[in-house]
Amino acid sequence: MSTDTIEQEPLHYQMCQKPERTERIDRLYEYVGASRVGMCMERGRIITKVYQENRALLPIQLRAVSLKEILNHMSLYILPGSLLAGNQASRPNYAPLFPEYAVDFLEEEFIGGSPYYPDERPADRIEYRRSDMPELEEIIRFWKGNTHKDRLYANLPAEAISAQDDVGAVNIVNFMHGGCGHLTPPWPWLFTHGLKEVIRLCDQHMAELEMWTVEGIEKHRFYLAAKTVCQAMIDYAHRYRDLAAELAEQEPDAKRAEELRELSRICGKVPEHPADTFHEALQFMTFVQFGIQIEDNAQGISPGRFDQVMIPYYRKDVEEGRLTRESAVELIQNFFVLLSTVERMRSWDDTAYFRGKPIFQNLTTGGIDPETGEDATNELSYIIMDCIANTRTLQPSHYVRWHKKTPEEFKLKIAETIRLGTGFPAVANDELYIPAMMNRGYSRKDASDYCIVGCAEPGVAGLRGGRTGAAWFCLAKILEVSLYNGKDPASGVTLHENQNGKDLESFESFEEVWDAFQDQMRYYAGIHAVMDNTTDRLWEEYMEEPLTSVMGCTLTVLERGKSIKRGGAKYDFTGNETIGTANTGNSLYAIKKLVFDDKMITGKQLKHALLTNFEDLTTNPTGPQIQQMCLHVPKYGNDVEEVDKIVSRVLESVCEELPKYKNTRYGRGPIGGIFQASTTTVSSNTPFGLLTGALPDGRPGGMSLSDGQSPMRGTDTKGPTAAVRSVSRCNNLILSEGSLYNLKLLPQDLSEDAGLNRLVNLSDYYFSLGGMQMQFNVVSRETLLRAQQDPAKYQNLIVRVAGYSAYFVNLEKKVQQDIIERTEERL
Amino acid sequence: MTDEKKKGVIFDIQRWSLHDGPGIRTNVFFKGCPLSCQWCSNPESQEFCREPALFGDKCIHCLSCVEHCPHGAIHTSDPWIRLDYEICRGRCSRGAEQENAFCCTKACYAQALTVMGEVMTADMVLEEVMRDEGIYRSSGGGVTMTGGEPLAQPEFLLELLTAAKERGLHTVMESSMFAEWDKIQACLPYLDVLFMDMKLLPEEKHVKYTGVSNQIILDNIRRAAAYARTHRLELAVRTPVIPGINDTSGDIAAMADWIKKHLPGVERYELLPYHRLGRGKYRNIGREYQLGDIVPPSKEKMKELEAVVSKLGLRRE
Repeated sequence: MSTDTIEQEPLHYQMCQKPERTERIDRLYEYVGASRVGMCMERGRIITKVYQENRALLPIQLRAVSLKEILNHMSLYILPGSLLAGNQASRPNYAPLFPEYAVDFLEEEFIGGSPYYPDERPADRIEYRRSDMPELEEIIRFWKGNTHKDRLYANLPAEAISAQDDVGAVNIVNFMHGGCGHLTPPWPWLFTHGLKEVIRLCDQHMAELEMWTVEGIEKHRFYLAAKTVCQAMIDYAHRYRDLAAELAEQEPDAKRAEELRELSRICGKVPEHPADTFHEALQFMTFVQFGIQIEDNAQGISPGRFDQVMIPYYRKDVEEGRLTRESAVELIQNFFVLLSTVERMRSWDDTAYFRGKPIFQNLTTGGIDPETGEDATNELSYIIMDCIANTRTLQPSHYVRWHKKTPEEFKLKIAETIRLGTGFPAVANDELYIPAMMNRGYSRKDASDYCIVGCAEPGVAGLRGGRTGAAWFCLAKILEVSLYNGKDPASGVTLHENQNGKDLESFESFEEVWDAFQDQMRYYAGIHAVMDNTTDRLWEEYMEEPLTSVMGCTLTVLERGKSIKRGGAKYDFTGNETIGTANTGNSLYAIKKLVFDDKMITGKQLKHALLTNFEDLTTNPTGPQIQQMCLHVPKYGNDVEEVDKIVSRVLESVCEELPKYKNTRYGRGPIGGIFQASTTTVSSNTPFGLLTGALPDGRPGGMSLSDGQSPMRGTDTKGPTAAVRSVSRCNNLILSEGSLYNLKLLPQDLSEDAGLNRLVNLSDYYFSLGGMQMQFNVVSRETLLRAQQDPAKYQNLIVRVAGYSAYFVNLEKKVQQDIIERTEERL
Repeated sequence: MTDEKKKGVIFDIQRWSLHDGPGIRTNVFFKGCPLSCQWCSNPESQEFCREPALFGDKCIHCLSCVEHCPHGAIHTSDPWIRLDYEICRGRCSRGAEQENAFCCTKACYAQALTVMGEVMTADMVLEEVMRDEGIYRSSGGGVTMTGGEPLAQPEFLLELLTAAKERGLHTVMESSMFAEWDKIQACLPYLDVLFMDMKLLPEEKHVKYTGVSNQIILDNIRRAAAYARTHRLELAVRTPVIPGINDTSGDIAAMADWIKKHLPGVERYELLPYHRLGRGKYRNIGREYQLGDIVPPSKEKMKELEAVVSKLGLRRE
């Protein structure tokens, strides 16, 4: 970073505060950073061979054998200087192939270059060797017509496909390309028992099976698969044991050789046997994180409440002289860098919904103790904040849990970390998350132990199985079609006519508009459930995940002898992602105000203006005049009760509708088994915006929709206190899959100690009003504009997108624009 | 007519205000000021009555305002429109028929044409202020009366301060101190902090740049300091540092000396660097900026002046 940049950015903390890292971590960071995102053939090659050679095996056995073969034969490496081992593909930042999920995009993009060759994409580029293409073509040929995605298209009703591909109101592409993830393993149990014990338990259960019953036969399959993958994990670790020993032999530096010998010893011990030290536990966790990632290409595989899980090991090691605060910091930073090497290949279409690197390996810090209800902040909580501030990797991602008894000192520490502007940590409010979960059936103790397992979705280590982050549900599009009696103006498709048969021209009251919107929302919620349950059922039938199950919900799947997909988890909910909440509420309010209350224009005039994208100059008032009327109707985010209430009513209606649907695990063991709502969007508000026409809130067609539960960009003009009052006015208690609110603050508002206190006050204020979640972008518009013009100088500038962080300069222009526009809450 | 007295003209209520008193505050901007400082960054605060403002960049050139102005004050012009502000002031700002005044702004859907200033009661102001009561408590913030000159609407100010105190709010006022002493004195019991502006010591210079003599101001500052010695009121003197007008070490030292000499007990003296952010606002309300192109004082310059102040035993906060 050149000095003139720093001088121009006196208050840009990321730019002027140099990270404090040991030389080892600096080298690791640079080494991994220098490796570009790429495609690794190995996994694709191995799994294809397994499927070709084992045609008699049932899906769960095939999945188990595949994982075993992959873990046994993939290339391993140990990063130079690393104290931990584990890798997902042949090089850092290389994404493995998962041809069993989908190959159509591989064919279109890698072979056909349509719309881009992956190494020529405008954003999220993937490098690869052209010489691998003949082999890739062979792999594609084997899988084509027989992938998860093919089966989904074959099984989904035509109207559901049309709802996704023509109308664009619901979308499940993300789950056509990978597994479901979104969970945290029960670390304390795993660390104290080891995988050998899991294998023993499988044997014990198998010995008790009544093998002549259908149930016995099916359970037997599961236990066998579980044993296979556990052994595969042990073998994977043993391969690192051997590799480390070999590297130690060749290592000229005696100190490094000793480190490698120690690493070799640890890999020989965990995850097979229980972990006894901090270093061993961390290596155990690393292996499990990578193993699950390699199994099914999912996101949200989360370390969970890291400070709570690791504290006994930390304290014991420090007491016994094996560890210091400094060496623990270095190990954790090393762990972060390793997790940052994980990459997930997405189709070009899908990347629009997930710009940057959202893998969501979440760490959750702080919060209450589930046993006592008291604050559980500890030494590691502070250490993690230091590690976030100084490692500055995009993965893992971070949450803190905030509650009434969080110590002031820790709140200030959090504020200091947030001020840096990497978007980490996001903040979750215990006083909302816990009751929201209890409201859906979690026990108080389990809910109190929640951690975030996605953008903002709560899970509980070892207890919650899939499936959060289900279909995208675009409320703005749903509102749009309800204005035209169910017809989507862009595609011309009508899937469902309004029950009252009316449109914007014929609605006679606001309640009729509301009813039509509700009717369409219910219709698309039904499609949403069809899409998710079809996906789940096909996963269950063809893509069971033995390792994810046995690591994710260890005790219940072993007890029940079945995977998560068949009902093996203690708690199981299907969560959605509601898009365009602010646009929808604002638009409904604008219709109410302009057409029915103030009678400024008729419904017919508004309809014409929307269909002509506010551009028709021949009408009176003209299109642009109508757009201005629409834009100046009060908007959500300004502490105006009337409009906030409509936004809240919109969200509540979704929150109440979805739980009427049961998921495929209902009645098969788990508590819950229903759908529930969230307001996470990742970056999908941009592609959904492209598909959505002009709206009555004044937003022209094609423009990005509002993100999460945030006010529409640029429309919250009364400052952060007004904005947080609006956002907290929603009934977040029933938003049990999580809330997402992006707040952009100016660096200068956070300067000096007074600025840190201010951030604490604002968070306390928002949460005391009933806010659920908040994340921050602390970067000025000017900095972002400069970064756009001079990306080379801002390579490492991290910004929060929605639920995750990304390097600003690597984002596509449209998403960059979206972030720049996101309202600066300013003085 | 007693009700009339209790209405004030306010041109903005700004939440999340961070620099005018402790904690997170809401600033209430009074419209109207007896001074007309050339560097004023809120020119819309000077006139007592409501006035029109045109934000050209918002104009969509629909010309609906031209049609709707019954006084012929708006003309088509490239690229936007042109206002004859004299007609606006005569007919709408000071006109007898306030009901229909500024009807052009109602026809402006883009809100490029707006009215500066709203006639409000103390209850209306406090309703807005009280919205953030929760964060005042935790941050040590409250409400700040600023402007314009709050003391130029003394009855309304007193009512507002009394009502704010009834609601337990922490109160701050920023004032030029150009007012009758008894009006100031009446407010002091309801204030926690008073920021008093001291712009220039030499009287003739003061008249030249602000339009009024500073004798009343200096008298009032002295009286306020005497009051504060026996009451719970925190005082701070503030000087806007304007390059070429009062930015020499000598200028600042003279003012700091004056404070030391005449205001025993007052230790807070804050220097506010001149900024140009208000420049564009002059054109919006049909006026000209008189200071031209002066450059804000550099950080080094401010540090040098701060050093002069602290050497004399005064502190910033």
